[in-house]
This record gives sequence, C-alpha cells and structure tokens, in this order.
Amino acid sequence: MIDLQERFDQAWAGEPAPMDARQQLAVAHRGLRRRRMVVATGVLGVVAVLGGSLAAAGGVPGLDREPPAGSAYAAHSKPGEVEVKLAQTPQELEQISSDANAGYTSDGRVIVRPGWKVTQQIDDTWVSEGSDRSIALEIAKDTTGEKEWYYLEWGPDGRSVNQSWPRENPGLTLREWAPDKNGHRERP
Amino acid sequence: MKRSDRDAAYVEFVESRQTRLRRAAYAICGDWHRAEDLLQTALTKLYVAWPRLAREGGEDAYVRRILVSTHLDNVKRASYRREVVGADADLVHAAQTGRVDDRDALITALQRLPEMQRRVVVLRHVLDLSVEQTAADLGISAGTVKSHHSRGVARLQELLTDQTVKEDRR
Repeated sequence: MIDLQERFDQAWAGEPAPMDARQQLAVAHRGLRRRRMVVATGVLGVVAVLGGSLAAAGGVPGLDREPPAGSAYAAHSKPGEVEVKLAQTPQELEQISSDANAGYTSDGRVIVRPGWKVTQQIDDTWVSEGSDRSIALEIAKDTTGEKEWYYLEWGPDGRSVNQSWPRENPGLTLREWAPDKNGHRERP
Repeated sequence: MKRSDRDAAYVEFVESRQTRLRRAAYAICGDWHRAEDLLQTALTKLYVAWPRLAREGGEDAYVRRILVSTHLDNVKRASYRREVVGADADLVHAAQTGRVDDRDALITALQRLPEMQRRVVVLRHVLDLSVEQTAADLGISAGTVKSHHSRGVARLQELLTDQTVKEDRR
C-alpha cells in the first residue's frame, strides 16, 4: 500500500518560489480596473438601448437632455473648481489611457489632450471604495465639436477609472450618467 | 473598508494561503506554470469580491471554488484537453521507460483520474478539507464525496503500484 500523503509531500519538491504577495496585489488592482470597465460598459450598453427606446417613444417628460445651445455648461452643472489642464508634455499624456482624451495623472491632476476643451465638469460628487476623488467631464473636440463624457476616479496609488461616452447619448445628463456605474454613491 | 485596509488584509491572506493553494492548483492541473496562472486568476477574482467576502466571510471557500472552476473552464477548451491527453501519454511512456520519479508520478497519475475524483482527492489530501467541506465546495453530497474519494484513491494506488512494479522489474 502506497502512502499517498508521503507521495504528495514528495511531489512538492520541485516547487517554485512563492510569488510576492505585493505583486499579486498589483495584478489584482488591474483585475479590478478591468472588471469596472466591463461593468460600466455593460451598464452603458443597457442605458443606450433603454434610452434609444425612450427617445424613439418621444422621451421622458422633465428629463434634461442637451445643455442649452451656446452654453459651456449644462443646466445641472456648475463650472468646476478642480483645474483641468491641457496636457503639456508627452510624459503627461502617457499617464492617461491611450484611447482616452482625458484622465488623471499619477499625481492626481486632471488633464485633457490638446485639441479638446472641457464643456461640463462635476467635481468630486461621487465616491467608490478606495478612491479619494472623482470628476465627471464632458469634453469637446476643437475642430469638430464632437463630445465625449468621462467619469474619472483617482486613488492614492495613482489608480484611475475612466469611462467615455460619445455625446450622442439618449435621455441622460452628465450628472445622471456619471454615478450610474459600479454602485457609486453621492459623497455625504 | 478603506482601500489600504482591504489591501493589507488581502496581502496577508495571499501570503498565508498561496503555498497550499498553488500546490492544490498544481495537483489539479499537473503543471507549475499553469498552476501559477490558475492561482493568479483565482486570487484576482478574490480581490474583486473582497468587500463582500470580508463582510460575509468565506474567502477560503471562494478562492478554492474559483481555482477549481477556472481549471474546469480550461479543461473544456480543446487545446488544453489535447495537452492533458499528452500528459497521459507521458505517464505511459515514463512508466515504460522508468524515467518518472516519485514526485512526477503522483501528479501525472492524478491527471489520469476522472475530473471529479481528482478534485475530491486534491481537496481532501492537499487542502485537508473534511468530507463536508469538500461536498460544500463541489456542490455534491457527502456520500458522493466519499465514493469519489475511495475510487480515486484506489485508482491512484493502482496506477502508482503498477508503475512501481514496472520500475522494480527493470
């Protein structure tokens, strides 16, 4: 009769060194970011479908849509106090996602790519676990006026979560859209 | 829970459990590199679910279930299945040539067990789970765990004895 337990103990002889738990933590942080992106993208998809249906049906009474023509900010939003700067250097641009036109730098500043300007901004209104601050932005491309929405969060380790949405969205304001992700709640 | 608290608790969990979990992953999949991937996937999913699990408990059971289910997902992929078939062939070849040492023989023999028998044996012998814990993890009855366990262990004994006899004859 073979002693199975003894054979198992022998089986671990060639075992590689254990990984650094901090390294695993970094991997887990990336996993969490990916998860949030997926969740938010799913929510956006549902909202887009529902919104499209509502728009097709004539919209929802009382729901604000586009900001007033000619206004830099939507009716619900006040100009933000957080300074959003144009990226000045390639090093700054490298700190935001390559497919994003706005984002947090690793030291917590908010930048937008050259060629874009902020047209709506809501500062620090929502929080999620582990984040220190947040900002919702609508930015517009200088040349075409094309608009994108971003919701950004920043954590003490330089973690940021961002989502964008072309402005051709149905039935929501930036203020309605921004917290509708990943269980965010109003900052008390 | 603050993020720093969550991270500290998570790191502590990883440090205290990773050796045993990785061994279980290795015993299930038969390859240290793949075991590392399995464990990393399971631990990453654990981190995502950490706030809920920290509130409700069950971190250990959760990560074990993810480990097993992720492996199962891999097994379902045809390419992976081909590699496992290759592993069986390795055992046969190794048994014939006598080039497998004890540590490889057990892990390779484990890969020849039916999936559920292997999982039961690994959970019971590598992670030291009770019959009830194993049943809860795998979503089967305690009686089924016992039956998979006894058949799995018997088959392992058979495979290893057979190999030992072949090696002794050389």
